[in-house]
Amino acid sequence: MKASTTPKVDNKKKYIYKALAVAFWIIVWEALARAVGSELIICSPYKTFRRLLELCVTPEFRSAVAFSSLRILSGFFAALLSGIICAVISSRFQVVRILLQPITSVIKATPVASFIILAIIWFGSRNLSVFISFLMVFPVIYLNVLEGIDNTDRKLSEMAKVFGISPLKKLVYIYFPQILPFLISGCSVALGLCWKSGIAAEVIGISTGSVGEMLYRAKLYFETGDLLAWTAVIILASTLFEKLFMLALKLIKRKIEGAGR
Amino acid sequence: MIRLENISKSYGKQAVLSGLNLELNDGGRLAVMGRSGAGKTTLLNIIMGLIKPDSGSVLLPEGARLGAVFQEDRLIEPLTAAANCKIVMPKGADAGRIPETLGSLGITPELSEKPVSELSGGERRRVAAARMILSEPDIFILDEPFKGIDSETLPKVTEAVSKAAEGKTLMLVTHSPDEAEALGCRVMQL
Repeated sequence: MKASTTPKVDNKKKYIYKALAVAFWIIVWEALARAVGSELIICSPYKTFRRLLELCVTPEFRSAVAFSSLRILSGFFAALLSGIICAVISSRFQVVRILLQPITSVIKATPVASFIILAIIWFGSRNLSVFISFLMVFPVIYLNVLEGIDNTDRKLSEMAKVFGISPLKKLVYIYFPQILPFLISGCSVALGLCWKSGIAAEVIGISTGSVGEMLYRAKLYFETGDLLAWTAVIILASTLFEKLFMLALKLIKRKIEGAGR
Repeated sequence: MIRLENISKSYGKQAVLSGLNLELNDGGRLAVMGRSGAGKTTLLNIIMGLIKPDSGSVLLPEGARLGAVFQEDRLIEPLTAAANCKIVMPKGADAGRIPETLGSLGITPELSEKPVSELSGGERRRVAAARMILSEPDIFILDEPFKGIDSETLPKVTEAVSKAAEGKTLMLVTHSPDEAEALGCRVMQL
């Protein structure tokens, strides 16, 4: 057999390359901050990091992160659950699929700011990010899961019918493994979206005690260091949750695939 | 007993089965043979309830469990061979029979722990046969079950299927008179 000529990058090298890429952009950031020479316009990475550490130990930081995480993730999980349920119903009843089609199209096409302003009028600002996060995640999960269901192998369903496999086993072992790749891809997109839209809602609605409010205050007082530090917090929280959630999905997948062991 | 009365089925204008009557007693074994497109698979699918006939009726013993090796493997790709077998087993069945049955068909413990997508065509057919055996059916339905299985392993597989189907009803679709004979089937030409 002929050996592959494609360079094989092992995991260790991949991490080194990633770290080098991050280091490169931090150097560019530092160079830019020095060139501009004004903390008001661009704060250096060192000062941002120092501010981040200062913020981390304050009780205000912990309560703001908890406030926003709780609401944004509540919206995410509510949309995940209802997206899956609606996709299952739509796959069985054409009328539900037709009814939901314009709703999902409108949600996808409407600027998130319009929904945020409407939601402030309807619900006020305290739980705004729950609603906005739900609204952004729902169509992504619904459409991905529906596509997954549409792509399930009909012949496997027939096999299950002949062998008299129970509905629960059918769901876990036949449908779930086939839908999971679609769900993973939907969740990967939705997790980024829910944080971005949720925080944007908190900034516009100035939700008291939220990360969005901290960002708003930083903008108000031209605290560029705070702004970048809070942005780093959002990125870290979003990435951490995405990694944990994807890991959980992969563990479930592995558990199902080895069910006979 | 399997009883088919006046079964007709057409695809468009092409009549595949026309006024077919068939009776197979409990414990009977029947091989259906015939040219491609004669309606053999359609007949099995009608018995399994996967296709509705245009007319006629199918009578199966009440509560009879069906087990099948389909024309295609119809295995759940990401699952291991053992997991594919486990999910069709009746409630309370002994899971210890899985390695035993797979082993009797030449599927080693290492192979049985691999996702079926990594198995060869012949190995997948044997897993499909093991799955049918482990589902403990009252009626065995086999649609060209041994295609792709090498001649060395074939006697082992037919023996295992024949042993599992002792005293049970079996219907086989095949192009090979040898397979029909190995399973002790009377032959019906379609």
